[in-house]
Parts: sequence; C-alpha cells; structure tokens
Amino acid sequence: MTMIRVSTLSLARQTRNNVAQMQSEMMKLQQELSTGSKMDVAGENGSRTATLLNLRNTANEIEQFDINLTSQSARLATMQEALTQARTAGETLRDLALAASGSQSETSNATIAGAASDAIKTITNMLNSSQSGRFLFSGTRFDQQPLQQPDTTSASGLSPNDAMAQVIAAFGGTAALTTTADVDALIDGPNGISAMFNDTRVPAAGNYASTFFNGSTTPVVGRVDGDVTISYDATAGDQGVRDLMQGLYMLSSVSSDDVTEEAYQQLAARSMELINSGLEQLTQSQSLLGLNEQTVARAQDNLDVQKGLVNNQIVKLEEADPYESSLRLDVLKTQLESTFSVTASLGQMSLINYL
Amino acid sequence: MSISLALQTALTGMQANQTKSAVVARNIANATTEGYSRKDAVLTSLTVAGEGRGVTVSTIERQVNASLTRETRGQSSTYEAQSAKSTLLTTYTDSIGQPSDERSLSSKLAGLEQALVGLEELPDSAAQQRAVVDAAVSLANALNSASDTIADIRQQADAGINDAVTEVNTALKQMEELNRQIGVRTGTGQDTSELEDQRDRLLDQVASLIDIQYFTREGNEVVVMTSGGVTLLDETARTLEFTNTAVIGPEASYPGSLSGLTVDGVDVAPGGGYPQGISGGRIAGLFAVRDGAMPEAQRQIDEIASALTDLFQSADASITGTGATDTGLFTENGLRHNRATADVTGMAGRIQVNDLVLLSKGGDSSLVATGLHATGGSDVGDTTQLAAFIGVFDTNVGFSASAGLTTSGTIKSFTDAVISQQHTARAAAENSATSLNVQLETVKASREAAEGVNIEEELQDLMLLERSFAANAQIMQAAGRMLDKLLEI
Repeated sequence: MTMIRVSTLSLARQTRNNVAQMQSEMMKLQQELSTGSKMDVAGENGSRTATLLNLRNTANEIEQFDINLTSQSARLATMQEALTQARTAGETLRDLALAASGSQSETSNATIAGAASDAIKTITNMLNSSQSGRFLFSGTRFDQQPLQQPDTTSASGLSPNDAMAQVIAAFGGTAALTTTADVDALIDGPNGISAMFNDTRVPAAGNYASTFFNGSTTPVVGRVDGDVTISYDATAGDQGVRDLMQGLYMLSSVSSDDVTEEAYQQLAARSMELINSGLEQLTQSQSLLGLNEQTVARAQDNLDVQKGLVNNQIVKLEEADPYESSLRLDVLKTQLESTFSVTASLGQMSLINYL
Repeated sequence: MSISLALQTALTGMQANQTKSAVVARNIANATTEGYSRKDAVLTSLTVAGEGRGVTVSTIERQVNASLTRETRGQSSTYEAQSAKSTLLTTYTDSIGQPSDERSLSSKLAGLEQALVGLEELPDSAAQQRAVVDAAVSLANALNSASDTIADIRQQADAGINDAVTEVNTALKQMEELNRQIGVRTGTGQDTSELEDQRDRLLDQVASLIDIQYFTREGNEVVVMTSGGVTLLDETARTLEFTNTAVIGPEASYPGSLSGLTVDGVDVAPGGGYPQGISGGRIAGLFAVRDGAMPEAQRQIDEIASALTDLFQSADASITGTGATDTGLFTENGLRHNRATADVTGMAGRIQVNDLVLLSKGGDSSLVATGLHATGGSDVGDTTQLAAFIGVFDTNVGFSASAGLTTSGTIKSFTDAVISQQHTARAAAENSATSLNVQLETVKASREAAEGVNIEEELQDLMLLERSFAANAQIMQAAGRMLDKLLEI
C-alpha cells in the first residue's frame, strides 16, 4: 500500500494558496461586474487589440466628421436660400426689362433705374451672406466680402457705380446713345461694358474682379467622409452672377430720360437677355449645391449607421459578460465558504486533543 | 552475566528512545519552517562480537525526495524567467495604456488626424490651428516618453541582473563553505542533516536565479553547473561577472556596449555566442527583456517616429530643398530627418514638433494650414496643403522588417499593430507565468508534503516512544529486583 504523505506545512500552504487564488479571481470578477468591461481588455483580446484601437479611433473620427457635416449642411442651406432670394430679385427686374424692351410707357420706364439699384443692393447683400465669420460666396478668399456695395470705393479706388460711369463716359456719355447701334457699341465694343464684366477692359481698375468682386473664384473644398470631398461651386465671381450684375448695372446706370426711346428699348432688351442668362446659370449653381446637400445628407445617414455599428463592436470587444461573471462569482463564493469551514474543522482536529 | 546484559540492553533502548524523542522534538519545532526536511533517527541493533547488545541510533536520516526536488528547481527556473519578463513587460504596457483609456500612441496619432480634419473645415480658426499643434506636441511627447520608458525598463532589468548575480555569487560562496563543513563532519561521523538542509535551501535560491544542474559526489559534496555545462561550484565557487550599466540609451545593445555574464572567461549570457547560454531563472528573464523585448519595442516606435516625420516632410509643399533646415511639422531634434539614409535607432526619443509652429518658441501655429515654410500669399480658404497633410494618414509606406511587423502599410495600421503586438507579448508572458506558477506550486506542494513534517505523525511516534521507554524502564526495574533477590541470598 502506498501512503500519500501530507506535511503540516504543505497542508497549511495549500489552503492559503487556494484561498488567495480564489480571492484574486473574485476581485477581478467583482471589478468586471461593477464596471461592465473586461479588466485587461488588451490582454484578453490578443491580436484583436489592433481592431479595437482602430474602432476606437474610427468612433472619434466619426464624431469629428459629424461636427464638420453639421456645419457644412447649415452652410449649404444658407447658400441655397441666398441664391433663391437673389434670383427672385433678378426675376422682378427681368420682367420690368422685358416690358421696357417693347413698351412705350415713359413713366414706367422712369422707375426701372431705381428698381435696378434696389435689386443690386438686395443681391449684393444676399451674396454677401456670412456664416460664423465666413463669407459664403467668396470662394477660398472667404475672409473678404465678395460683392462691393455699388457706391462704396473698393481697393481699386473706384466704386462699381464709378466704374460704370467711366465706361459710359468713354463712349461719349448717355447723350451719345441715340441708336440701337450706339447701345450695342457701348456693350460689345472694345473696352465696353461686357469687356469690363469679363475682366478684359483696359484700364483694368474698373474691371469686375478689381472693383465689383473681392473674393476668389476658386471654390472651397469640404471633406465629407474619409476621402470624399465636395466643392462649393458657387461664388459671386461666377459667370452667372457677372451676367446678372451686368444686366442690372446697365439698367441702373442709364436712365430712360437721358436716352432716346430706340436706344432704351435696345438697352432693356440686352439687359433682359443678360439677366435671363444669369438667372439660368444661378439655377444651375443651385442644383449643383443641391447635389452637395444630398451628398452631405447621405454621409450623415451613413455616419449614424456606422456610429451604431462601431459602438456595438467596441462594446463586444470590451464588455465582460455580466451573466458569466456573476455565475462564476457565485461558484467562487460557495467554494471559498466551504474551504473556510473545512479549514476551521481541520484546525480543531488534532491528536493533541486526545492525549 | 545475563542480568547485567539485560540492564545494559535496556539502557541502550532508553538512550535510543531519548535520541529519537529529541529528533521528534526537532521535527515538531520545525514543522512550519520552510525548507526543513523531516529527520528520522534510524535504529539498528547493536551487536558486539556477534552478540546482540541492544539497540543504537546508526544515523539521522533526512527525508528527501531527490526527483521532486530536482523537478521543483527546474520549474522554479522556468517560472522565475517568465515572471521577471512578464513583470517588466507589464510595467511597459501600463505606460502605453489599454485601448479603452485612449492614451496610446495610436489614439494620439488619430487625434492629430482629427485635428487636421477639423482645421480643414475651419482653416482660418486660430483655436483649431492651436489644436493641431497641441495634438502634434502630444503625439511627439507620447513617442518621447515611450522611448524613455523603454530605456528605464532596460536599466531596471540591467540593475536586476546585477542584484541577482550578487545573490548567486554569495550563495555559491556559502555553499562552498558548507561543502567543506559537511565533508569534515561526514568524515568524523557527526550529524550533517541541518547543514544539508541549509545547502539545499541555497541550491533552491540559485536555481530560481539561474538554470542549473547539480550532483552530489563522494564525501557528500555538491557540484553545481549551469544547464549549459559551465561549472559554478566544484570545490571552489566560481564568480559570475557582470557589469552594471547605469544609463542605457536606445543604441546600447548586447552583444555590444552592454555587459554579458561571464564565468571563468566564458560568456554564458543568452545570445552571447556561447552555444548553450543560460535559459532559465530570473537572470535569463531579465536578459530577455533587456536585449530582446525592449529593443524590439524601441525599434517599433522608432519606425513610427521616423515614418511620421518623413511623411509630413514629403507632404509639405512649402519645403523646397532637402537641407537640414528644410524641416516638416516634425523634426529630428530640430533638423530634417532623412529616413532613407539616417539611422532611425532612437528616433522616438528625438522626434520634436517644429519650433516654427510653437508659440512658446516664437513660432506661428497658422503655418500648419499653409505648410511650415509658406510665406503668406494664399487664400484663407485654400485647403490644398491641409488635404495633403490629411493624406499622410492614408499613404502606404514601407517599414523596416527589423520591427518584426508588417513591412508595408499606413502609419495608422502600423501603429495599431505595434500597440496590439506589445500588449499581446505582455499578455502571453503573463499567462505563461501564471500557468507556470500553478505548476511550480503543485510540485512545491508535493515536495513539501513529501519532505516536511506532519505533527500528527510525530505525536504518534512520540506515543510509541513513551511506551517503548516505559517498557525498557520496566525491564530495568525487573532486572534490579532480580539483582536484589540475588543479594538477599
């Protein structure tokens, strides 16, 4: 018969080791139960730690993009609204110009110049809209007001009204406008009004880009998500705005009282064409912005879904199963209690008591 | 005359019983002494000229189990090596943090990217420009402090080896002395059991520090060698030689400027060229940390620092040349870093944010939006440079194979892999230490159970001794009465 020997020291030590081991496991489980997450997340996930790090970084990125997208979508909405208002103002003048190009009514024609000035102010104010200190139609130069007010002097030393007066004076003033041909020459001739609005007139001081427009035509680029960017293709330097403004300035600078009826009809007809083409191009810009709005909205929806998924995955990797923890804790408690009672009864059991 | 023979025999019985009870008392007194092995007085019948003359204590025997002892020592070497490694690796991973703390290098890197994305949206915001600079500073600091922590841990390991070597040397010296004493006492027939216990305890201690093999030869003398066969104790104790290096920089390596472990001129440090260097014990674990795990971690973060500096240099359109002052957002101690040609070792300790964007150094944080060497002239809303900076995080770059991870990938994926790998290595060492500890405690318990004292057993022996002593006394009494009767005649 083989006897398994037990020494007093080994008996005591083994009990002590067991109790210590159970207690340390209990401590870990208690902490996991109270915090809900694993105590050693990286250790228990092993090589999946890289995934977890990536997920956590993604979650933070999503938050950053969320902030960006909220301000982008607000910006797009403001731009849309400003363009709509500008278009409405332009449409009123287009209708007036259309009437003037065919009608003989001296009295109604006399009000057109004033109405055109008002429309210029409205459109200028609309396109000068800003959001959190940023002018929306200035392109990348968004620290500058895009459109110069008609009667304030710009960096070139001229106000837009001055520039118009200069061109008209160069062609002999309003008194020289008697025939259709005179009007066409003023508009299309070398260094005429069209040249000014297309930045080709000499001297350049009065040109659109120097006197009327202070921004840049390079569009601002916004980041929607990761590599996806959108470009804000609407600035006050676009051809549409130039055409619209040219038509309006022509109407505001030449009063029907100063020119012959034939000349004014031609002027009104040409203005109407320009305003119309400007309005069409503004509508196009609006539809481009609308596409951007769609992209942003889609990205926002996308981020919402992604946020949920990423958070779920993070929880899955970090969470300690509360059911498993409490079950294991119960088992340990029972084990520990029985160990204690056995230890106590063993301690009382000694041959010494019977000697 | 047989009555006197009976008297004498009873006397030897009583003497033997006394010795035995002295041994029982010794056992009971040492019942809870660690490393004490149970002693047993071995009785043999006393014969004089072929005639039985009673009983005598022939020897005091130690109750030892050689194979369990050997097993315990082997296990303790393995466990101590793994435990030393796991303790130091835990110190390191505690400094880099759990993924959920979001204070790891990976989180700092992502923080810089997010700050740049935020700046792209608000390129003229001074606050956001500062946020980018702050994120860059915090990333550079994290790399610097990880590099410092690695140096610190390598120094701890080195100092730990030094302490352990001193311990081994002291123990070997004591064993040399004990060998001598035991030899003398064995020659003169004296009890050597307590000295042997002491020698065994020293052997246990040495085994936990360095992996050894040993045998007992004639004259009860123990000879100790490393598992690789280099003699440590054979009549005289050899001295393990190790030189402590107080300051260990990233470039310090072994073999190289760091000290190995020499015995009689033979370098037995792991990786030192000797075919069978030491592989167990705390010393081996510390060597593994100093020369293996930590230099690898250093190479990994050096790669991150180097790639990061390089990427920001090449993404910056305002940099026109490749001279020392053509610096990017990050610099190597203020100068341009040349990843292709320079030695990247220790780069994590040298990476800094360019003074050009640090307000504290008279810099201008708005340069993070335009390029570090831009001289104005671009529109506030021009985000081309920022987009290029953001592109840094998605650019595939090559990484040195010596970092032991992927050789190509984005800086983000590489950093994630680094953190993950370092945690995995730590967790593996920790788990293995835990399971080795269970094995060690099991064999230790078996050894203690086999060699230690059981008080109940001793008490039973004592009862037997009492009885036997009383019986012997009874014989003396009877013999005495018999002699009285004779005298009455």
